[in-house]
Amino acid sequence: MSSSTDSPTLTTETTQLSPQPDTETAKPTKKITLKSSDNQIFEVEESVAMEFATVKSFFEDSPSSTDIVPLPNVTAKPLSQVIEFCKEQIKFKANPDEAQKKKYNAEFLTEKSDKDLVDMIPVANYLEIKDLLDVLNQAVADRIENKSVEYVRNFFGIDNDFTAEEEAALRREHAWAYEGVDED
Amino acid sequence: MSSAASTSSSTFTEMSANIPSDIISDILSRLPVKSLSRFKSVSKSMLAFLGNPEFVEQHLKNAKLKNPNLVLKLDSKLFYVEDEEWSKARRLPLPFSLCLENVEISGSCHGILCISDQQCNQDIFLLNPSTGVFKHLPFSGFDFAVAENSFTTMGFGYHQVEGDYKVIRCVYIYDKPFIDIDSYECEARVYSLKADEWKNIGAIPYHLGYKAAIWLGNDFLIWKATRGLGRAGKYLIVSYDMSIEEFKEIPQPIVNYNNELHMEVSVFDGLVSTFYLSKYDEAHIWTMKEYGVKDSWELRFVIKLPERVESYNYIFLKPLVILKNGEILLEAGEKTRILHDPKKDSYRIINPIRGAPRRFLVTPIVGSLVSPFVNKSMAEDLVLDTAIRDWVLIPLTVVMILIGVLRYFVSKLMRSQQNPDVKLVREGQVVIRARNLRAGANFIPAKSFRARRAYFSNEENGLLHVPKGQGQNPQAQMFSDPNMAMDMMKKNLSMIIPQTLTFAWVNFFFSGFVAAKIPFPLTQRFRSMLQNGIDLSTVDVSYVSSRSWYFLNLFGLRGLFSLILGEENELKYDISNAAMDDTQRMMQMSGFGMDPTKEWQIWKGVPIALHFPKELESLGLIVLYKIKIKFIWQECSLPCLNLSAEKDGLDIIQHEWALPKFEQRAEAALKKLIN
Repeated sequence: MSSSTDSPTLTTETTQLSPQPDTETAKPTKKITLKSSDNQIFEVEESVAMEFATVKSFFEDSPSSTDIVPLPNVTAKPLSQVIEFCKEQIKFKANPDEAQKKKYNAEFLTEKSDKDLVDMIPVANYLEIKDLLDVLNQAVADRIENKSVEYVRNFFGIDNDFTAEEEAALRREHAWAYEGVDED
Repeated sequence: MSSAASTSSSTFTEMSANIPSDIISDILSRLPVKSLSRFKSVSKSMLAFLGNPEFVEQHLKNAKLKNPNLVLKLDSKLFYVEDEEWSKARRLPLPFSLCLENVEISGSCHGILCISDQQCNQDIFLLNPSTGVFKHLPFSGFDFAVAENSFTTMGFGYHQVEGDYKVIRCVYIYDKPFIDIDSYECEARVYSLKADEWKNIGAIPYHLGYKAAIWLGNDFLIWKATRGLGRAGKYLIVSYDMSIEEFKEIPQPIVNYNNELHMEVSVFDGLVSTFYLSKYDEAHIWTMKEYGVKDSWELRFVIKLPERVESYNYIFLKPLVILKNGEILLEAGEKTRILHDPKKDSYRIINPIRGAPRRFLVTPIVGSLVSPFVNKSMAEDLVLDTAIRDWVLIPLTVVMILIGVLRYFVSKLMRSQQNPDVKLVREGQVVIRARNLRAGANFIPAKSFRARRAYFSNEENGLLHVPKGQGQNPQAQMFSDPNMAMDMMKKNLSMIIPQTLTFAWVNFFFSGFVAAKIPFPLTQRFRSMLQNGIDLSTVDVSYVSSRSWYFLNLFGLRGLFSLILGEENELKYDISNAAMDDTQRMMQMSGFGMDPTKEWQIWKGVPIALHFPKELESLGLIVLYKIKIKFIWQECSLPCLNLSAEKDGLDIIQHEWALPKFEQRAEAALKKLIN
């Protein structure tokens, strides 16, 4: 889906990215094809793909392979968002601007729904993108900090296995913690 | 109240269907305690998880990176400010305030407050204000009556090496008129949370100040103290080292302030620091960069007080803590708190805190989940029953040794007498002779060498010549001699059967015991080696399970057997070796058809480390063999009894006469003799 829309912008980026120190600078325009579990094909810059530690190690293990990298645990939507994020991070890597980066990260996160975040976390975890995982975890922590217990259950998909009495007792014990909780 | 402590046994089962546990753990560790207390009622697994000591530690680590929470104290009331903006306070319910006449904060560390009675500090409580969990310490008896005319001081800190919280209480008895402050009788006691008891550490050679000690964040507690004539004398900085339980004076910075100064001891960034207050509205903060090194004192900040602060008395000015943005929180008496930014040299009075009283004193504290209870993780309180030693450890070892000895004799008995085959012996001798010829070839003249070589390797009747098609490969050789195969089978049985039986026996009677403790700490990597059969991540690695003890014995007794059975026997009959060199041949025989060098390549990868995979139980001892076979290839230096190989060796050898002109020289020598 995003492969077709992304391709025109990619060509402009390559010129920017070429001076970046990379082990495979010989082929700066090399593209890597990723395949999500729902058979969507993503064509990304090699430098972007190398942000994914999982993909990187895939190529380190078999450097000559030019095949499509299958990502069996990843669906298309969160993957496209992850790729979008990593592209921006690479730009910031080239010319560091902390304030700009923070602003971008904040914007990137605020426009995402809870479900988007929850979907992206396993992807970032599977692809081992440390920076993104850190940003996502902090975002989730900020989101749930002042939320109710029910909200958190829904957020993580956790079932309530307390009996009514047990839960009431826990709530009584920590009554002060239930003050000033945001509306869901 | 103690729910956090009682649920410390954790379940690492996946809490959420879509997010892995370690990520949930990471997310939760970023939250303040208030949110976490609320989320305890999310589910049972969450409740257990939040009480897990590992999570508590992870959370504490993150909490230390944030700005501290504040405990506000007004007389005997405490208020707690736990939001990051310091905007609102809540009254801390003190369930124990009935016991105390006066609530005094006597130190804090890791989010736990040490609260005591101002008067003689007899009732001491450890309270985590974030969770509300508290503990009343047992009474610290003293050898003398602590009465009105006494003076007490306290200290509270965390001893990293032991992973223990310590409280120190010192009592000085003012029972005589003042002459020299050192003349007062004194006694100090140290409380250990793990042991849950007080220990007398005797008298202190200093007179500690009334303000409670400050924990440095490592093994040290520091006090302001005096000595000798006291009031007239100089103030000292005294530290208590929790590791060696000793009091020591810390050298002070060389300061040259002419005016009368008021000195206070404090901690900044985990460094010992002092601050000096002058009458001219200035505070100088010094920090000691390297603990105990006099030259490392450094003037860090000079804080001039803004004029707006009217009701300020320089004595009450107190730098509290450096915030994450570099600002310093200063307290100027009970009514004013100032944030000072040393970079911009600016001052601002902090916003009023909703719900807080008009005046109060501030104690910064980390918001943590740490409970003032002994960490109930099994590592700490695992007591090895002496019965386990007597009935598991010792029998197991003895049985292993006896089995080893028994096996040695059994295999000796079962080893059938082999009648040497004349042909084989002859061939062996020929090979040895040929080898000798090869080695000494250069010391005989070319002619002699050629003659000898022809004798060994001529195509008609040379001793080394094997007609085509008659060559025997060792496999066939082995088949041709049933006795040999039998012998091997027997030896193998003597190996496998007792091994299997002992393993079954150990498994049946002794599985699940923690049999021994190694007296030194080990890393987690050894867990699979030492704790086979115990699937508990909380048990410290230095504990050895009974099953692992069996394996350690199996492999580790080799040296002992060589002592008991003699050096040369050891190599052959050692439990592992006896089997291995046969197994290797067996494998060749049974036509595994593997190229030995290839095999060697494969097994090179087998780690020698005693890693016992699950298959061991089902596959029997194959793994052991694999490991052992590795050694065979290393040690395989048996003379190659292959005639044709020897012949080839002889054929290609280049003869080079090592003693040129030897004949002439001999002739000359002989002539000389005759003449």
